[in-house]
Amino acid sequence: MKKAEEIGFAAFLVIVFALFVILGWGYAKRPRIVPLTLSIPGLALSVLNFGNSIVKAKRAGTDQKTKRAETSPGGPQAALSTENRKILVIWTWIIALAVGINFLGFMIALPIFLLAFIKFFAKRTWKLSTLIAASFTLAVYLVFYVGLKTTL
Amino acid sequence: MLEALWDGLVLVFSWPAIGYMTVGVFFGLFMGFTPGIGGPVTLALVLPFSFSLDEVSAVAFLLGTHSVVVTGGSVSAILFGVPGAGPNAATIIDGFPLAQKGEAGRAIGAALAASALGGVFGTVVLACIIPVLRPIVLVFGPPEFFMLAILGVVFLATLSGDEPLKGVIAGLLGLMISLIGEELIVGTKRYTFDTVYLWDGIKLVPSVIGLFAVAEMVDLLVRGGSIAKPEKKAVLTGPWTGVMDVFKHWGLFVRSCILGVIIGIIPGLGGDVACFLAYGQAAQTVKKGETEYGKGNIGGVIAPEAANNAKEGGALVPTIAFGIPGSGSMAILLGALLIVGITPGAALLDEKLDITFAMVWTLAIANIGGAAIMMLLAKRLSKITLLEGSILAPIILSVCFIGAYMTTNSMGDIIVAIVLGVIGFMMKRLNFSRAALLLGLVLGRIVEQNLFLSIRIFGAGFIYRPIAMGLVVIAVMVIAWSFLKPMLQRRNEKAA
Repeated sequence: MKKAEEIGFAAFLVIVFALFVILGWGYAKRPRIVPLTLSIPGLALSVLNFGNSIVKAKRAGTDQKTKRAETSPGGPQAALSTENRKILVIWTWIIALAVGINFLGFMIALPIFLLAFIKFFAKRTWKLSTLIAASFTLAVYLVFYVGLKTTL
Repeated sequence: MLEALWDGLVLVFSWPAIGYMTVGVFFGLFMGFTPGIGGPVTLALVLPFSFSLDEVSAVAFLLGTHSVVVTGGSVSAILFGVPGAGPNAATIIDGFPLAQKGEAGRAIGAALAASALGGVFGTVVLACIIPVLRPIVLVFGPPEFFMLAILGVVFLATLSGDEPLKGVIAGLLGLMISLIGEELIVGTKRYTFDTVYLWDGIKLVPSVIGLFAVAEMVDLLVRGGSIAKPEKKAVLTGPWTGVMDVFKHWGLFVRSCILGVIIGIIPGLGGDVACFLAYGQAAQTVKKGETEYGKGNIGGVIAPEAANNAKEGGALVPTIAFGIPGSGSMAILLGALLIVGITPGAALLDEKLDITFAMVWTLAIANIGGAAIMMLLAKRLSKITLLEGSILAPIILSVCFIGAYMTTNSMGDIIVAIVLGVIGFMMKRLNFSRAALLLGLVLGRIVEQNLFLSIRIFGAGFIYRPIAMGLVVIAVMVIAWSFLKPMLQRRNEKAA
């Protein structure tokens, strides 16, 4: 699974550098000098990195096939898929916080996020979740609104 | 010169600068002690608060915070085997075994004393170099600055373990990200996709928060559990024995400090390299009858800690003299200095020399003060590292988003922090150098601006100027060596 991640990220880098090259080509002569000077070698190196990661994955795949018979089926695979699910869930929480800040503002989104995260993700009691969310929000209010006289 | 030295001291002790420095020292120690946060993240978090301060207060606050992060980090490295900041990693090798042997107090005493005295050593060297820096700075023109910036990225990119290709790609990606926004000479909007937020380019603060803080917190949540788990109850006794150990090993201490200062001066090398090189040279000098390195030798704590703090004085040299940051943290500090109106270069070594010496004094005072505070607080602070990650992470993430948003009061900053957080998280998992990306991001504009100026002033042959050519040769040699080294290592391993 780590190999799939490596190939995925290598492909992402190739796409990003390719975009930099393609878009850079469209600019006038002077503004495109530096972007093209940097992005063309970047594209070449990221293609090389992509190739490397595929070769590594193939080698690892061959090794795994030989080992598969010895290990219990599904063990590490299941652990990895659980980890990936966890990563997705965490990023969803983070994006939810950003969306909340956009629509509700910091002073409403932060306590809701903290309360919900500590209650449902960390699986703590309502009492502790409320206490942490309230204390942190109060600290933010005191530091930013009272102390620094800024608004979030 | 002496007048400027005195003026600098007066400035640091003037109100409110001394107050801000004190707050910075406490915050820096706290963040350093909390594992996984480290210097760049701490600076990124305090950066927005410095914008409204005057020049001296901002310098005192930022340098006060930054200079003690690694001092705080050494305590959690020794007690729990978890480095507070990246450069504390080398301290674990002998510090943690000392704690397991019940000599945590001695190790902490040695680490804090070596940190404080190392910081003062680096500061004294910096103060001595300043008068010599002025003529050197005047020799440096746009071609030399261009090549120095390139060399900085090359150094950092190629020091990415045994996978230099990933380091170079990360550096190039950082350089490309820095080009997003309005081009400086003609005003063309590059890679902005008609988004107004991107016209001003990608901001440094949300980028650092995303790359380091957000990525680290997600990693902590994925791993689960608490940040640190003490395997054995550490005994906090005998810190003064540790302090005396530094004086007993003065030769090792001085060697490590000199190494730290030199590495600090070279742009892009950073604290991790300084610590491991200092540890390496210490391990070479083990005497007969001494405890082996790696099994609880006090020299293994003194060497990296001394080098680490001495490095900060050295790292300030290229930052204030050339505007070329010596490390990731210095890159953030450089951004902060520019924002509060302090432009690095000849001015800081001439009419603003008092500000430069205020920086020197801040480093010295903060290092000594930080070590003293840590000696008093170490035992109580150790409990924070046992906090459950799933409770600590959402709080830190909230602070991250507040810090990112405060850059321009725009949702764009939060989006940048998230996007770079995802990239930073993947880079961490796949062994890409995030520091190389950051340095590329900071140096990108310097590269472009000085390239244009060089071509305009000297024509395409600017590269043949002696210093610029020398820097080209060094860069090529560094790149070649970084690719050859793993190949040679593999060949040696096969032969063995």
